[in-house]
Amino acid sequence: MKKHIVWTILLVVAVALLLALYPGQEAERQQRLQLAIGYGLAILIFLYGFAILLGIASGEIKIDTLLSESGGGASMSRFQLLIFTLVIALSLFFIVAKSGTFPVIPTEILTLLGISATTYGVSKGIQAASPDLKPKDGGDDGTTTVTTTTQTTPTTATTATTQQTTP
Amino acid sequence: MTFLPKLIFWEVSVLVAGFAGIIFWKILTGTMSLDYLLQADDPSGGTSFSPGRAQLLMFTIIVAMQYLLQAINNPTKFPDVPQLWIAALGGSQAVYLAGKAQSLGFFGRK
Repeated sequence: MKKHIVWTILLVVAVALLLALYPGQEAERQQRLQLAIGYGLAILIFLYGFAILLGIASGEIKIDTLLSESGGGASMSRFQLLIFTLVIALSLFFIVAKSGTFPVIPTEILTLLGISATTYGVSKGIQAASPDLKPKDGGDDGTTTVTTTTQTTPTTATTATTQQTTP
Repeated sequence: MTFLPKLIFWEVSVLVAGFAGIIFWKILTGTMSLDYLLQADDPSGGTSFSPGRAQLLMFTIIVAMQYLLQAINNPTKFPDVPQLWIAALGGSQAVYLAGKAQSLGFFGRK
C-alpha cells in the first residue's frame, strides 16, 4: 500500500512539472503552472488524508480508545468534544461549499469549543490527581505489576514467584 | 479553473464523511466502547448512574442538533449561538465536573 502511495505521489508531481514546463507563451505557462500546483496539491493532500482514513479503517491506526478514560469506560468530556468538533467542522464545510469563501468564525463558536476543551482538560486533571481511581472492566489503573521468578536449585528446579504491585 | 473547486469539494466531502462514518461505525459495532458513559464511581467502590453525565449528554445533543439544523437551513454563515445556550452549557459542564470530583473522592468521604 505504501509503495502504491509513493508511486502515485511521484506520478502526480511528474505530471504537474510536465504541464508547468511545457513550452508556450509566458502568460500561458504561468497559468499552467498555477493550475499544476493547484491540482497537484489538491490530489496530494487528498491522498495523504485518504491514506490515514484507510489506516483507521483497516486497524493499522487504532482509534478504539478515542473515547475511553484512563480508568476504563467511556469519557463524557471526550464524547462531547468529539460531537462539537464534528458539528462545527460540518457546518464550516457547508458554509465554504455554499459561499466559496472562508467565513469569519464568531466568538461564540470559539467559546463553545473552549468550554468543551476546558472541561476535557479539567476532567483529565481530576482523574490524574484522583486518590480513589479504580479500573473498570478492561481498564488500566496506572499500577505496575512486577513478577519475579527465583530458581533455588539447579537440579530440583524449585521456583518461587513473587508479585509486587506499585502504584 | 472551475473543475478545481469541484474536485476539492468532493475530496473534502469524501474525507469528512469517511472520518465521521468510520467513527459512527466503530461506535455502532462496539469497537469504540461507550460502556459506562452515564456511569460514575460511587462511594461503595462500584459504579452507578450519574445524573450529571446524563444532563451533560442531553444538553450536548440538543445544542449540537439545533446548531447543525440551523447551519443546514442557512449555509451562508455560522449560526448565531445565543448567550443563554453558552451559559446553560457552562453550567452543565460545572455540574458534571463537580460530580466527577465528588465521586473520585476530592471532597472527602469515608
